[in-house]
This record gives sequence, structure tokens and C-alpha cells, in this order.
Amino acid sequence: MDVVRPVGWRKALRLSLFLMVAGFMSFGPCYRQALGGKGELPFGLKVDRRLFRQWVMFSGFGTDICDVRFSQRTPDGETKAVDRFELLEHPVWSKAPRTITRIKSVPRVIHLGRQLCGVLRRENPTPDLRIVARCGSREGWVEKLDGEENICELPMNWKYKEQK
Amino acid sequence: MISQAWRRLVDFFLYEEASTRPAALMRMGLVALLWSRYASDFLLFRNLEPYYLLHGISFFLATTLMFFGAWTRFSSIWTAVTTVSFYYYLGFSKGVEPYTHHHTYLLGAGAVLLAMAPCGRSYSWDRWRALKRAEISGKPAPEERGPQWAIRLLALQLSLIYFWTAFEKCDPAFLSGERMEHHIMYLFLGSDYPQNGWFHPLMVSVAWVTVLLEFVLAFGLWFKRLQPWLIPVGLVFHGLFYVLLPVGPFSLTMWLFYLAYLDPDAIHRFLDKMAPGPIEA
Repeated sequence: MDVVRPVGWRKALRLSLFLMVAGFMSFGPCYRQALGGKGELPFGLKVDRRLFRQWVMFSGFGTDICDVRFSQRTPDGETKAVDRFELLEHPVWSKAPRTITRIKSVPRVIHLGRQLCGVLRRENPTPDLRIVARCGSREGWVEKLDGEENICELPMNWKYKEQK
Repeated sequence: MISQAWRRLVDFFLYEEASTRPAALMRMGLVALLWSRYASDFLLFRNLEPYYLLHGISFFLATTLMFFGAWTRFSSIWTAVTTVSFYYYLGFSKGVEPYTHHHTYLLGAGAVLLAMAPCGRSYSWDRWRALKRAEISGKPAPEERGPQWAIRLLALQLSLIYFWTAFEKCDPAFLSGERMEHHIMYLFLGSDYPQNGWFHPLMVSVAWVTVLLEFVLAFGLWFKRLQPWLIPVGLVFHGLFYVLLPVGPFSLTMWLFYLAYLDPDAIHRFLDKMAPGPIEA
């Protein structure tokens, strides 16, 4: 490789362009990610911060997934796992609807729980179904349901309230 | 000593001239990637709003000229303006959310930086015309050489991506493996957390390896001695991203722009070596 140093305005132009582009590329993530910039610049200047790119790829992706375990308490106090695929007549996991395999939110967990209660009632009029669930968030797993309540006994108008 | 090192650094970033073949390869590769991302969205019957039609016509004309290397300086600037407009104007002002994604930004940034590089001096219609002119005037063929500062900026853009994505992942949610578990469960396993001993340790390891690798790639790809090791690792890394996550053309764009880290003259020599000799009549 050769080194060819331009002179005069060509040198100034190249240097200015280089610094401007490198500065813009570096400033975006630095301002938004390291400094938490909200678009308020010094001297009262306000800009749309989306002008500057941040590199946070997939930071929120995949958070709408819950890890769910259904279990049934028998009258003699034993707890046994409930296979939702079998009860809902989708024994082959890979062929089951995505709404059953991938449960995205607590209301959806409750809805599925109620469906399971309906099936369980065919054999036992007072089933006891417990759900332990945690759901994804940007901060990691967040506990949502601790299995303390019998879902089948909850009134139909019961709604899950997000803990603060 | 320090001033010498500084001078070498300034020369490397600003004043080195070398083969223009890698820039030309990136020019053609970038147009192919731009078409794979945007072309079907801008078929002229898709949206008859004037601003949309204008973007479509501009896109097809500019990128076609750029691909063939016709009036390349002009056509590459035109392509850059069009792709930047896709990102900022259509993406943010008109609310076409998919155009605001990281891969569309990278495609636009690549177009801007290639517009500042001598990407039309090789493998182009411009080159063919220059050779014809030289032949007619009896002068030697113009050299396929040009300033590399814009290509260095392209490499810098890639390093910034690696650095800041790794920086972003340095939080407890990611390093504990939990975010990785979300990805795998969301895309593959569903809501049944694997009840075995290896899933969590595996996700923790994958998370740490990802962060460490991104930091290493951010700096290591600049060093010639490390390139034979890091480039294959980086290629596999992005290949895995492509098949495991919905990253769109991002992986292939990164593959293509790895050329920016390599010695352009070495690529030129390699291409000469690979090219067949003259065809015997």
C-alpha cells in the first residue's frame, strides 16, 4: 500500500469528511447507550434522538414468552404434573398449535388454565389446578404465578393484576 | 516513537492508497443485498403514492447503474441518498417501522461509505471505458488504485457495531443466560423450560461467549495476524445468527463488509492468482 497525502483543500475536505462521519457513527451509540441521551443536547438544543443509531439488536426480542408449569392436586394431597398437550388432545408437540406450545402472557396462561379445568371437570367436578409461571422481560425472568391459587376455583371475571 | 506511531495511524486511516478491487466487490455485493431487502417492496405497482413511486424509481435506477459501475461516483451517491431516505424518511417520518431496523441502517451506512470510496475503478463499465480511452490514446491502462479512507470507515462502523452490541449485553439479564433462554424458548422450545441440568449452564456459557467474542471481534479484526483466526470465527458467528434468529440480510452484509478489514492489495493478488489465464483460441 502507498501513502499519498493530499494537499490544500483536498486534504481539508478529506479530513473534515472523515471526522464528521467517524464522529457521527461513534456519537450515536455513545450518546444513547452509554450516556442515556434523550435528545436534549447542550445549549438547550433538542433533537430527535432516533437520528443517532444505537446498537441494541434483539434487546426486546423473545421477551413475550412464559415458562409455565401446570399441576394438579389430588384429594389425597399429592401433586402431579399436567400435560396440557395430552389433555387438549394435541399429543404431538410439534403439531400442536403455537398458542399452546408458546404461551406469551399471563392472561393467556390463565385462559389455557381455564381450558384445562374444563377438561378436568369431566372426571372430577371440583378439580384443583395450580399454575407456576414466570415470563420474560428485558430484566430476565419475572415470577408471575406461584401456584398458590386453584385456577379452577377462580371466578370467571377474575383478572390477573400485574404486581408493581 | 509516539509521534511515529501516530503518523502511521493517521496514514493508515486517511492517506493510504491501494487496490480498488475490494471496494468494487463490495459495490456489487451491496447492490445485491439492497435488492434482496427492498426490491420487492418497491415494484412499481405496490404503492402508487407519488413519494413511494419516486423512491422506487430512484432505487432501481441508482442501484442498477451502481451495480454495473456506470458513472459510479454519481450512481453510488444517488444510491446512498435513496437508502438513507428509506431509513430516515420512510422509516421514521412515514412510519414504515421495518425500515428503521439495524440491518437497514447498515445497508444505508454501507452505501454512504462506498459512495466516498473509489468503488468504480475496478470491475465496472467506468473501468472498461477508461481502458478503451487508454487503448485509443496509446497510454498505459489506468491503475486500479485509490484512497482507502472510506473503506477504513466502513471497517470502523463494523467494529462500533460489535463493541456497542457487546456493551449492551453487559447486564445481569444477559450474562445470567436468562435473555438467551428467552430467545431459545421463544423460537424453538415454547413455554416448557427444559427440565434437565444442562440447559441453564449452556445458556450462561453461550451468553458469555457471545459477549467476549463481540468484544474480541471489535478490536481483533484490525490486526492482520489475528484475521486468519477471527474472520472464520466471525463468519460462522453471523452464519449461526442467520439460521437461528430473524436477522434478515444483516449476516450477509457483515460477511460482505469483512472485506473492509483485509489488505486490499492482498485481495488483488489473490484475485489475480485465482483468475484463469487467457483462453487459447
